[in-house]
Parts: sequence; structure tokens; C-alpha cells
Amino acid sequence: MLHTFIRSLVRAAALVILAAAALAPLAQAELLGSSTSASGLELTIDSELSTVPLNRIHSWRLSLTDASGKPVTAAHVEVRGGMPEHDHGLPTAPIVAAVDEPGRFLLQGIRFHMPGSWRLFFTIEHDGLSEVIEFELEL
Amino acid sequence: MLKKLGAASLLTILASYAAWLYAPFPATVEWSQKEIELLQSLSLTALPELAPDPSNAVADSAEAAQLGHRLFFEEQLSGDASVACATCHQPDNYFTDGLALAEGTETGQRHTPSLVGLSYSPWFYWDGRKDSQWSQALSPLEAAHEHNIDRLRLVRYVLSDPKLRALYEQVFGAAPALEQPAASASPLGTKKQRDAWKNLPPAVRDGVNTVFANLGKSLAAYQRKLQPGRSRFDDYIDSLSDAGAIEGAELSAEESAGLRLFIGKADCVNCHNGPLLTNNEFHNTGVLPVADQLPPMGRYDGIRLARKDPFNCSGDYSDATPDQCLELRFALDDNSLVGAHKTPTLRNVAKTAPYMHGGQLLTLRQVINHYNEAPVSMLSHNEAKPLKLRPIERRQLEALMHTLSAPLATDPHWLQAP
Repeated sequence: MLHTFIRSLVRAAALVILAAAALAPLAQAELLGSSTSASGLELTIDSELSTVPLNRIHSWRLSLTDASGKPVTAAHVEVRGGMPEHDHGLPTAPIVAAVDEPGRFLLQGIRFHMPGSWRLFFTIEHDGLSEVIEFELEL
Repeated sequence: MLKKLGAASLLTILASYAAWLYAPFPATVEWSQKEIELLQSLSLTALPELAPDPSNAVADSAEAAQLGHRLFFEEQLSGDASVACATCHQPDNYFTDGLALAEGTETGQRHTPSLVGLSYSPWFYWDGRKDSQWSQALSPLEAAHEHNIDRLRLVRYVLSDPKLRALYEQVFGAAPALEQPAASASPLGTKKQRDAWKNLPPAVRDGVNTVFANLGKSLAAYQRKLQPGRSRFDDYIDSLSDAGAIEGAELSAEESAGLRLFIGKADCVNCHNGPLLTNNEFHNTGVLPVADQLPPMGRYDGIRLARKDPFNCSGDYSDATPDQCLELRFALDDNSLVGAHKTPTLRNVAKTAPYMHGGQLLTLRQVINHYNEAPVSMLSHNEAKPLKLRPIERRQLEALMHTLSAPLATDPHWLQAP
């Protein structure tokens, strides 16, 4: 009995440590904002770095919820973008992949090489539908 | 009377036109808070510590830099014992050579870029065909028009020189045994050298490649020492912050007007940004091909070459794990890269003429005029747009470029042969 209790205590402690470890990288993160699609899908973006730097490759964490605020699972997300003012795209080809948490995604390989207005387009394929969420960023 | 009036109006028009062309306007420069922030991002004060290179375990080893220092100045590392890295990358010229096209054992096809601050770049060569400084350092050694020495002979030479061998083994441990009859062998080079390479046992080929890669890693460790020094440009920018003015940190009216153009109307800062005044990215700016050369594909070919390079970040001779090779993994690869070449630093730019990947433009004035006109590109499209700068504004920009010269922030003993 005691043995089982200790085991569950250890398990609980391990879970707390794991959760803390998972949240740790977010401690330095910067919320870049959120943007909504026509049907109410909401995309929230956190950068792994406290300010979005010029000329440095880094990752973003994305969080996707539906119109009722529930995490969107089983979605496929792609990103493209660029600077409309200068008529060019992103200098890298970032990739978005789902992570283990529902509605959470990791965007890897983003880099910006010019100061100014950037516009990103996230294509979300979900429930047989394809929607685009636009996101603006001023560097 | 009418005649007099006509002459007076004509004179006024002419005088106004001349004033528009040549009068400095506005005469003084005041900066907004947003502009000051942008300027501060260009000062060397904002330059971060050089990050480790995960693909090069000895990038910051003092012994590896010493070995690299010796290798850099060693003319024996060439087919006819006449060319060292320092032949083209001359310390007295900010590690450039003042020539349009590099002169190794033969005349090359590209202009020698400066090595100052280059260790901050994720990509190397004008077309970015190398993804690390150590991997870059390997290619000129075997290139027929540069050092023109084959891989086996090069490795043999280094391991037969007692001083170089001792330094090598101090950094990398015991060197592999290379008792092979062949004198020359390389997977590149002449047919004879390629055949000899194929005939080497796989373990020997691997040993030669390992030593070869390690020599590149040592050359990179040395080149990481070559960093730009603070110039008047930095002192002026730092004096704009409230933290305390730096005495004597003034730019002339002409130079500060040039700085306003640099971050404004002239669009220079779009690509020449950050403390090294380069985004280390690839752009097609409509530079004419070098005489007698086809228009180059630039980064479009460069990224393909980098991906299949056996000495890239994810290759067998890299010290990185594949998930550390972010630049290679997420590199762009599309038609927008046709004819695109790497943005060079503007640090010491007034001292490193000529300019562009083929040294096509001889003076700063020609470069500024080139961007002012933004000619149609022969291949793909010119990303730059005409600037419509007045002659006085072009002079102001040129004056600004002279404020970027400064002695290197490098211990002088690295700047001469050991």
C-alpha cells in the first residue's frame, strides 16, 4: 500500500518536472501576437527568442484553436511569406510540424534578413478544408 | 527690358537646378528615436560574441588557431610552392588583394572577398556553396587556379613537417599512417589523381579526408580571430545614445547626411544591416557578368553544391549532429536565387576596392552609381530599384563609406606570418 503511494508520488513529481522542463523554453519566449482566419481559426505565435532578431535562424511555437477556443488537432500547417514592399519572399524555407500537445506546432528555420514590414501566410489544412491565416510583423 | 527679364529667369532656373543637384539639403541631420534604434543596431557595440560552430569542435581552440595561422601563410601548401591563403587574403589589405579577379596559380573567376568578420556568416563563397568556414577553406587548396595541390600531397606535406605535425597531433591526436605508394591522389583534380584516389584503400581515403578536414577546421579557427575594429561610424552612433557621448565622435555634415540616406532613401540598410553591415544573404542586384564569362547562376547553384558537399555540416567530417545543421536544413532553394550573390560587409569598404563578385566595379562611386541606376539584370531580375539620388547625395553616401575604415580588432601577431 505504502509502496504504491510512494510510487504514485514519484510519478507525480516526475510529471511536474517534465511539465516544468517543457515550459522552460517558453520562459524566454516572446508572444508575437495572434491572427484569425475567416472561419474563426486563431493562430497564436511565440518566438523562442525574446525579440525577433535580424539574420538569425530560430524557431517559433504556434498554437491553433477553433472558433470555440478548442485546440485544433490533426491539422497540416505550411508557411510562406516575404516583404510585399520589396517583392521578395523569406530567405529560408521554414517547416511547421505538430508537437505532442493538442493544437501546438513548432515552426523551425525562420530567419529575417531585412528590417521593415514582413507578411506571413499560414495555410491550415483541417477537416478537409484549407484556410489561410495572415500574420504581419514589423522588424 | 524683356530680354533682360528672360536672361534673369534663365539664370534663376539654371541656378536652382544646380542647387538641387549639388546643394546639401537638409544641411543638418536630426534623428528620431526609431532611427537611433536602427543606427544602434549597426554599431559594433551591438555585435554579439561569435557563436560556437557546432560543425567544428576546434573552432575556438588556441592550438588549432596557431596551426591555422601557420597553414594560412604557408606557400608550400600549393602545387608550385608559390601560393598561400595570404597571397590573395593579404593582412595589410583587410585580407583582400586589390585585384578584380584573384591571382593564384592562375587568374580565377571571382573577386577575393575580405575575411574580416566573415566567421559570423552562415554561408561562404559569393554563391554560398559552403556552409562552414572550415569547409570553405578546403576548396581553394585543391582548386587548379588557386593553390593547385592535391589532397594526398597536401596531407603528406603537413604530416612530414615536424612543426606542423606536432601542432596537428596536439590538437587532433595521432595522425593516421599513410604509407602509400601514390604521391598524388584526390577525388577532384586530374584523371591520374582521381584514378590514384580510387585505388587507395577506403581506410586510407578516410584518413586523408579526416586530416584534410582538420586542416580546414584549423584554418577556420585562425580566421575567427580576424574581426573588425571600431571606426568613427561606431563612435558617432554610440554617441547618439543617452548613455554618454563619446568625445570627438562627430561625423561631418556630408557624412551624417550620407548616413541618413544609408538608412533611408538609398535603401542600403535593407541588405547591409547588423553590426557587420551585411545580412549574409544572397541578392541579384543586376551586376553585369565578368567580361568573357557567362552570367553566373549564383546561389541557385550554390545551395545545390552545398547540399551535396561531402564536407558540409551534415557530412561525415562534421562535428555537428544533423539537428544542429539548421541553415543547411532550412535553406531556400528556388528560382528567386538565380544570379543572386552574397552581400559583402561594408566594414573597411573604402579600403577594399574593387567591388562585386567579379570585381566589376572599380570605385565606390561606380558602385553607388550602379545602385542609383539599378540596371536590368541579364539573368532573372534585379531586386534593387532605381534610387534617383542627386549627385550631392551620391557624394554624401561615398563620404559615409570612408567612416567605416579602422584597424582590425585582432592581436597584431595574427596579422603576420608566424
